[in-house]
Amino acid sequence: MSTLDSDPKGQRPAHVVPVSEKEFLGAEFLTWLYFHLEANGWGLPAASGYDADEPIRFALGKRVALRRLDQTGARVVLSGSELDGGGELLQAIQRGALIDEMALGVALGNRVYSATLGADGGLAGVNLPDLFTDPEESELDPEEPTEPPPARPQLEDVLELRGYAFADLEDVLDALFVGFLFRRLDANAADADASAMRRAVASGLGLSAAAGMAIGETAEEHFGRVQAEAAALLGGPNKGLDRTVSKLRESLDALGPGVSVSVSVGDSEPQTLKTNERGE
Amino acid sequence: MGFLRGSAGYLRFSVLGEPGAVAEGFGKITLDSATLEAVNLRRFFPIDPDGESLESVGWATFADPLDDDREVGLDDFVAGSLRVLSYREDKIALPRPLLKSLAKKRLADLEEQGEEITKTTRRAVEAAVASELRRTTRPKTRIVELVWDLDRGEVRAFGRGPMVLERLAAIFERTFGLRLEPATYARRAFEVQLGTRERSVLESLLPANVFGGAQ
Repeated sequence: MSTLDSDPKGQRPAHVVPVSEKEFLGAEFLTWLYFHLEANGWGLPAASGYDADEPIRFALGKRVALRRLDQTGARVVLSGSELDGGGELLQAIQRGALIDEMALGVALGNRVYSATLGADGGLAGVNLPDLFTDPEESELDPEEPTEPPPARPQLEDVLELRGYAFADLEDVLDALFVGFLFRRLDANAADADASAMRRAVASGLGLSAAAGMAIGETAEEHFGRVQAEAAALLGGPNKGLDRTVSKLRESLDALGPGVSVSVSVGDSEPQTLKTNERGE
Repeated sequence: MGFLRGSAGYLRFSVLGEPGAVAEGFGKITLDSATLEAVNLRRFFPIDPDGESLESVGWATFADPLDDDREVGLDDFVAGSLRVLSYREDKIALPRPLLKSLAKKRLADLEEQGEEITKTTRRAVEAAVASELRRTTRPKTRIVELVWDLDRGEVRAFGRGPMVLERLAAIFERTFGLRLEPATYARRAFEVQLGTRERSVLESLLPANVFGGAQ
């Protein structure tokens, strides 16, 4: 291995890069994972390269911690149900924080796992599926006489089954990480992912990137700017336009992303008030 | 709560080096007994109540780490391709305020009896009080379950806290002659089979700046 954290003799060759310089990959991976799952409806098909026989379903758990990677290291912990798509989470990301911890449920067929993934690679609160109950047995008719309960499992059986279960969960997470890594190392894919994240944040915060909302701009600031630019196009304030923009504001809130804002005066060609810098 | 039951929290470690560094062919059950000797050499022994040490660390059985009298046997250690152990550390923390108060009282008694209080007397009294307190204070026990997956070349350590995990890595290295490094995502990135170009990109990779504030 050419990458080492410790170099007791101080003789590290110039080309060797310490692993510790890349620790940001953990938080970047968790952040990417959130958006990747969100974009895929929190499910990944078996055909997408994962070593599984059945589709994998995911669910965001009740805890997400976010941290800025700058010197402030500011950290915010969000807890509660329905955190996905929530304004607090997206606002923190919009302000430059990355996901440091994320509680996640993973279902591989009838095997359901939950764990909190840490950016340091650790797992906390790992709950494994019930490994010692045969699902067919649990569906037996309660009226029918049943056999006596099975003997308590031996230590070796517990080790083997739980060892398999931990590895089962790790395999899914490792495959996702490798998928992330290859995209991160490909400039085009990384740009596409970053762009998709920006769109998802803008959309999730109820803002339309297509309507020309700048990143960091509040809805109020945005529509004030739209109104001013429209007034400039028309050569002065216009009450009718004010009412139109006011209605447009309500409509855009309802329509969400993908809406472009155009204004036409009389028979003239419609004019786009604003597009964002990336032309999205 | 850990590997065997309930909710678990753990860190993964990469095992650096080949297991054969300690005993050639390590991993085969026939040679595990040689490795067991190394484990039992660093077995956990409780703190001697009459001694001076305030802490003790070492290996214990995976299934029953609180059984002080039990050596680690082959059946305790080998489970298919897994090798399982418990790392145990006991520490006695003497309550400083109580120690100072008792020593002060004892010194006052001696002074009343007409003894001259020198630095040596003071140190001797403090040592005597510490020794008495040590005998009556229960040690705090920490246990980290360790599951070494030979097939994956990884160790799962079921316990958190950077200090205890550092000590665990140190005793693992002394016992097996193999280094443990936390399997962070950064380390795993360098363990993925990458092409030359991708590795070069990885080595020069800087944090992404998607929203302008992550640098």
